[in-house]
Amino acid sequence: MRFNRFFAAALMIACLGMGAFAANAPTKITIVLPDNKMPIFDNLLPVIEQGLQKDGINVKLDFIFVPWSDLSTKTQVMLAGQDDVDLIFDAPWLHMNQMIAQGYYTELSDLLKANGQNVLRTRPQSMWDANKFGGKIMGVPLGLFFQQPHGYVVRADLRQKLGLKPLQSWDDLVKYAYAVKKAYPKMYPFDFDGNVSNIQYGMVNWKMLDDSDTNVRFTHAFPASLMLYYRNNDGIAHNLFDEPDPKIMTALKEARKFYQDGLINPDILSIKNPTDDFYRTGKGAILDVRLFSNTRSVNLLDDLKALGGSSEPVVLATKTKGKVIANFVMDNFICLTSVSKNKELAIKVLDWMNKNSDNYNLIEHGIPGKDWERVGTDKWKNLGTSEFGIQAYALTWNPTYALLPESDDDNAIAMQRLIADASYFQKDITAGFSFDAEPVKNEIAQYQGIEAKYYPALINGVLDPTTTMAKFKSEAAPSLKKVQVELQKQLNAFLKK
Amino acid sequence: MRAFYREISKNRSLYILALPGILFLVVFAYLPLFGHILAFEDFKMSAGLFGSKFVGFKNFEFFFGSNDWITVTFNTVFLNTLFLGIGLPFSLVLAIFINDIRLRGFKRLAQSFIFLPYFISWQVIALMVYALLNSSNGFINSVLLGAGLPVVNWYGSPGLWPSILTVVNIFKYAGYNSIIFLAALTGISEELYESARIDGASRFQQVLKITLPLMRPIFLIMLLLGIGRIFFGDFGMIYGIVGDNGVLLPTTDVIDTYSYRALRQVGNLSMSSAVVLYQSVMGVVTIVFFNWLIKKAEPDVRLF
Repeated sequence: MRFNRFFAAALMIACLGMGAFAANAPTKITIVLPDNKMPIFDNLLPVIEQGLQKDGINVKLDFIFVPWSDLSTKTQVMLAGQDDVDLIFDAPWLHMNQMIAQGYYTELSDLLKANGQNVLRTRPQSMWDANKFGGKIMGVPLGLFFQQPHGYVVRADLRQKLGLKPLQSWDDLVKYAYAVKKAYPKMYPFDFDGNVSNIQYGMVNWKMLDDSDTNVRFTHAFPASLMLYYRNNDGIAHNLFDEPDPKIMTALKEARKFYQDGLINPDILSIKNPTDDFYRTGKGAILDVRLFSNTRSVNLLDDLKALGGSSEPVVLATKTKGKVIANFVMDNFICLTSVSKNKELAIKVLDWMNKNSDNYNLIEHGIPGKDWERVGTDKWKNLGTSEFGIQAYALTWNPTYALLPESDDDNAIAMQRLIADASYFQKDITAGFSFDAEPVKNEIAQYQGIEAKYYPALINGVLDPTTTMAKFKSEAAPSLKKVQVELQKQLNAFLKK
Repeated sequence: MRAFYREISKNRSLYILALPGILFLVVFAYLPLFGHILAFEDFKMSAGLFGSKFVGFKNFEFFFGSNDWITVTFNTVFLNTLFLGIGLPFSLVLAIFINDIRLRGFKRLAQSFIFLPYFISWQVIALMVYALLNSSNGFINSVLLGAGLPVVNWYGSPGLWPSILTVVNIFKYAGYNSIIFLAALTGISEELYESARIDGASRFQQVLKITLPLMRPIFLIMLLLGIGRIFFGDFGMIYGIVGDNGVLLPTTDVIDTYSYRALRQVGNLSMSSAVVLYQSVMGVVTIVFFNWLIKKAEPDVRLF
């Protein structure tokens, strides 16, 4: 009898304990980000979770990293399969519009008002206004600037050996490429990307980013194809088949010449990772980078040093105010899934990450004093080899707490300050517009099936534009035209408002 | 119906043994058949499979709306025919060779070596192919250059790729298929060979008159199973090796890679389901036809 009483009491205490434990158990928040786990991630995660708990947010963060090459497909399958995901990276150039149309993401206005004041505060109103989808906040825009930095990295040692002055223009870059090819015939100087997954880095696509004259640029329908393009600031979507823009056509012919002259690798369309395969190993001489500075990848610089080489940046973007048209659309977003069971908590986590400079930079650079240190008021120095703590560009990037890399030269710092200032740009009259692809999804699918046969090859010089364009047009013109007409219809409706 | 119950009751222990397999088939093969509804719906996750709007054949429009479907269907069938037509006989010959190795240790070693590529992922094989064929320092071009011959731009010559893919497919699957043939070969009675030897038959004659006729049923079954999937391209293989190289697409683009590419941005489940349904229906039609054909010639080896 006595034993039974003791047993019952023990059972009761155990149940109460378990209940209390369950009440205090942290809630799992699953976050899907691109790329692989950063080297310092495992040490960093407990520090972040402790910080969250200290501020009363009792969560366990479960990060899922998806390699860039699988990102589009795998994230779609995760969403369609209603996987247990709370926050997920997406972007208009990935499949954000389509995922929104299919109801995979939650509208954030009310949630941000209630639990994400820091997320709201750390992004300027112009950024929020320009990054709505159908007038709604469907993801938190991530960006340090109003336009992505873009430039080139070249081999400084080779330039000096060849007796060339620092490169200042596209023509300088071309002269350098030919000089490298002449002196080192086995090298393919232009180390661009022919892979469809990274088509933004294709030669002509990249070159047109620096057009501040007529501002030829991508449309909302195809964020990495100039077959439809905007020119000037008139809200008109042009079709390259019907109106062959002289700048684009010249760039296509130039790329073809480079390919024939051996400046571009003949296998460019099949190379999976040009940076690793060529530039890093000293077989390439010009790399296109989303930076105004020398590369931040310490490993890449070390690899080159081991080969006796060194790198330097080449920036061709204009410094003149008002010359560049920008729609202030951010390249990256973090979205909250519709299936998330912890919507409020997930937003609270994001809010904590945007709460102050310490939290923000813990995510971006890692543990202060160990992985990085502050230099002055607005710069940071990398103490390790990891570029990021966690992929901040896909999770937290905001212009308020971002620090500039202390390794950047004065020109890069000046350029970054320029593009962080909205007044540097001429505001695109389409700013705030988002394209609803649903009415032309058949045509988009058809067009993209055809485009893959020609476009990456054309912009990297593998196919001759004069002969290929006619064939491309005969197959793709009808579907592209329908997309153009629909895009223009939606643009007109937006501009009328 | 009574007979059915009687049968179940009579052989209940056997049916219990088969139950996990039956359940597996029901869950993973029969229940997903309902998923084909997706092809006729404008699927919205919020509305679910049975609540989404019915749109008839609208999801098929993107695929059949341009002429590309003819090219990719041809490529799929052509490449699979090459893989089956060359790969299966190659595996059979390989199995006969291995079966004839007398040294037991060497036989096992050879068997393991040819089986090994089956476990190599397409991504790794793609790297191997790139190391062999690339223009900068590819092994084959280096050999050609060394022999004073002109180098070949492999990644820019679409005409060469059906052959390259066939070789790669045989490299990966020949070992696997030969193991199946080998299992069948060991079932052939040694007495048949012994009496043939007494009658003075050469080794080649034994293969021709005993091995090949007795291997016919298993060969035909393997062929029929392969034909059932003739409309399904090997996505991992083609996408891993050819990737997005547009120049090679005219000869390597199969239904699976085409739909993946076309729907990568659109990300529409219903449209991709429409393509899968097309492949499945064509697969069923083909297998029924070939099964009928084989039933005429060899009634014992038909699938159904």
